[in-house]
Amino acid sequence: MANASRLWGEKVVRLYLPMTMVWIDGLSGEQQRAIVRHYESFMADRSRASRKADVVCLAGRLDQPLGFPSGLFTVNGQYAPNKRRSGGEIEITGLDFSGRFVRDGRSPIQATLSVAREEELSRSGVLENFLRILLAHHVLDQGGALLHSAGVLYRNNAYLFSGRSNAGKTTLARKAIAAGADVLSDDINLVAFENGGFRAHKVPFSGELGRRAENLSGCGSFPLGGLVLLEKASRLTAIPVTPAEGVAGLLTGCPYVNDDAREFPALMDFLTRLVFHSPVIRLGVAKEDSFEAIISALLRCYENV
Amino acid sequence: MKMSETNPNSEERFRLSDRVLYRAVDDEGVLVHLENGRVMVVNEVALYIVRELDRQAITVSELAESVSCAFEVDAPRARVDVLLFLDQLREEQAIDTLASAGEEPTAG
Repeated sequence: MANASRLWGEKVVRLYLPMTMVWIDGLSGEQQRAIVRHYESFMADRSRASRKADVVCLAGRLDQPLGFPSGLFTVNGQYAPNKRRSGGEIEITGLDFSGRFVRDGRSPIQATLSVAREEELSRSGVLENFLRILLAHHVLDQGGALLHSAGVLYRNNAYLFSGRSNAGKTTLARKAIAAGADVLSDDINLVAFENGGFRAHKVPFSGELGRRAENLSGCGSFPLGGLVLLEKASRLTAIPVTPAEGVAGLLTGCPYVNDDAREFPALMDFLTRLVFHSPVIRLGVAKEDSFEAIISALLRCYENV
Repeated sequence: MKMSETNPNSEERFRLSDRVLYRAVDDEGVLVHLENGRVMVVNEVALYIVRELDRQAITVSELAESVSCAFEVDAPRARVDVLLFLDQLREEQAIDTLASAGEEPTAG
């Protein structure tokens, strides 16, 4: 399907995202340079250059700007591109881009991402939004899921604090950074089953704190230490939840795929396996609670699960 | 005890909305409404009712009898449980109502 009628050029970039090799073809030189600059630590190096593409995306040229009103892309006060599924094809439309990819089980996934102005393609509002949705769908096939969460590293394990907007993810991430801990992301992380265990991966997507963990060495993934449903509370509380409550809580934090009937079986299989492997704790955090107090309460709770 | 808003003697048939998906997790169930994004966790009995509603359009009496048999509870108690849970599902727009056999469903 990757058949954008007009491309921007002949340049290619190879992005090595967690579990997903993305080739973006048909770029202009300027677009290529901008993507390389923005995704520097996710560019496929020589050791991965021969790896086959999981996604081949063509950079298309729109004849004119889409011209939709911005209100069309606002959900709960935040910018959110529209996603529409038609059979095996998923179409994504944003304020200034149009994208699509096919979910028919064939590899590589064929995709197109089109913009009207050359400089728009590499912008986070375009390429990052497109990659978020693409990755959310693709990693489900690979035994992973994107999770709205603050990912905090503690003793080389990753703890994912999942929560809705305003649950305190960024506040918790700030506390963790102030306490000297590394943060994968304060907004979205990838959790995946690999080699007999679950691991959390850094992804190149920005939260309020911007891109995090760019300085972390290694593959950018860490053993999963724990899963948390984060809530604001008047005092610090940590309570284990049942597997079903864990699945339900995490499900609400799986963007782009949790409202897609076709992805539901794979997503539920994944989450069910995840919560039986790593019990979920409901954590109520008050404004004044320190990171040390929070992580201590969490670890104490895990000792008793 | 809260009174049900569902008429216990009605011959209305109910069935699970096709916009609702569910999965058993351990001995509970997780329901998701694909349109409004609401997620519910239900106990074993409620999960059984959801399965029945998914299998066929069914009346309150038929549901109550089925629950009574499956869980060995007395019929009046099963009826109350069914009515209250149907209210909850209706509130969540998780069931369609068919006034009589063959009629087109209405949401909620």
